[in-house]
Amino acid sequence: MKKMKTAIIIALVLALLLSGCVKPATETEKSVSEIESSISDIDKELEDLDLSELDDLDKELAEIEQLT
Amino acid sequence: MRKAISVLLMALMIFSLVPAAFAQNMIRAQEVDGEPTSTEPLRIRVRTVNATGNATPMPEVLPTKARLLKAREIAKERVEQARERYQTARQRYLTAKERYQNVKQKLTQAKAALRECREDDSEECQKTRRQVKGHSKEFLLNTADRVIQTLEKLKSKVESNEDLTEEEASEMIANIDEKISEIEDAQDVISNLDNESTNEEIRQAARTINNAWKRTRVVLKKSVGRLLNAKIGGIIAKSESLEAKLERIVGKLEEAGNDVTDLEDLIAKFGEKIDEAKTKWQEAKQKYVEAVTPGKVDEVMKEVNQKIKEAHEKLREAHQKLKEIMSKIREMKGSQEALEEAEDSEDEEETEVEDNETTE
Repeated sequence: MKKMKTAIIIALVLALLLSGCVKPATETEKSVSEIESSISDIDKELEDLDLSELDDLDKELAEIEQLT
Repeated sequence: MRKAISVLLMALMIFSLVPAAFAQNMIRAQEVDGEPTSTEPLRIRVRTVNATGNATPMPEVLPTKARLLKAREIAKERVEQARERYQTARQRYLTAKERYQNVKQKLTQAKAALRECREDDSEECQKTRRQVKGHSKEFLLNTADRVIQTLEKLKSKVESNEDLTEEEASEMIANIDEKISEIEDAQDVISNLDNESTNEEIRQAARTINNAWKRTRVVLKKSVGRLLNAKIGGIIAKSESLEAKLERIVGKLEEAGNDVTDLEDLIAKFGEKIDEAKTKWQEAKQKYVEAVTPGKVDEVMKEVNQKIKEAHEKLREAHQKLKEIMSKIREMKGSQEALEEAEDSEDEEETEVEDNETTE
């Protein structure tokens, strides 16, 4: 049990040291991700704002006028 | 002892992943929120809209490049509120659509029954006529509701779009609100109908909503095109800014002793794709002017949408090149330093621009 605790503590210290070596994403990499996400957003917007379901609306309304 | 070593190795592996995971999260968080992280100062400010909706004027002196990237900045809270309104409108639209499909089916059946009732005044036929009136009213009300919810969806998208300037967004919202009122007025006319209403009253109500819809369609189609084009414009601005940054990175990599011929070629191709997207985007913008009359709107907006799709496609192709560029950069020696130094020089350049503008 004591050995295990020591091992975990050593691992923690090493991990902290290693964390200093791992570089966070740079601004350039963030810009690339941002552009990628914006391009995907366009697809979503096209889907969200699709007006094709309303294309026949005037025809349908004209039918109501004739029906009565 | 062996057990302890295994535990040590496992723990080491798990803990070593922690910083890497955080580094990834930094990118992801920005993708989701569109919000800058604390390490990235906000450079793009034309006007700020706070959580209560009041716009505050932005400082007059801004970095030149920054002005191109975002047309306005909206408080995160307001973006969230707009997204919630979009979801509500979407849900209401779906409900109205479901009711509309049901009533459409009933109307088709009633239409067939009505055909049998020509010059027949039996009790059964009188009942059919009353049913047709009731279904017609329901159909017209659902039609109005679908149009209103479509306008509400669009409005929430405009409210949360940072690629539109404050003036553009206000103008679009005012037009959308005007059309919502117009359809609501038509909805009031329909609500007053009942089984005793005359055929002429029902025809009049259908005509009222149809006329309102024809005018609304112009605003709807034009606004959707404008909104999408603004988004494309935003991506183009970001890509152009990135292209300049990539050129600085190439310079640094060359100084570090790398052969950058292929990389330069890829960046040139990336630039070409962005230029092509920009041309399509500008053509789409010019087309809007023609989309003002109800008769022409469908034809013109079809062309605008085509241009938008082409611009979008060019941006996709540009992004593919960008991925190749980034992968090539990462393979080169001194890439991390080059990426970081390019940003430092960018910050310096921006400070210089700010200083020069202040002096002027």
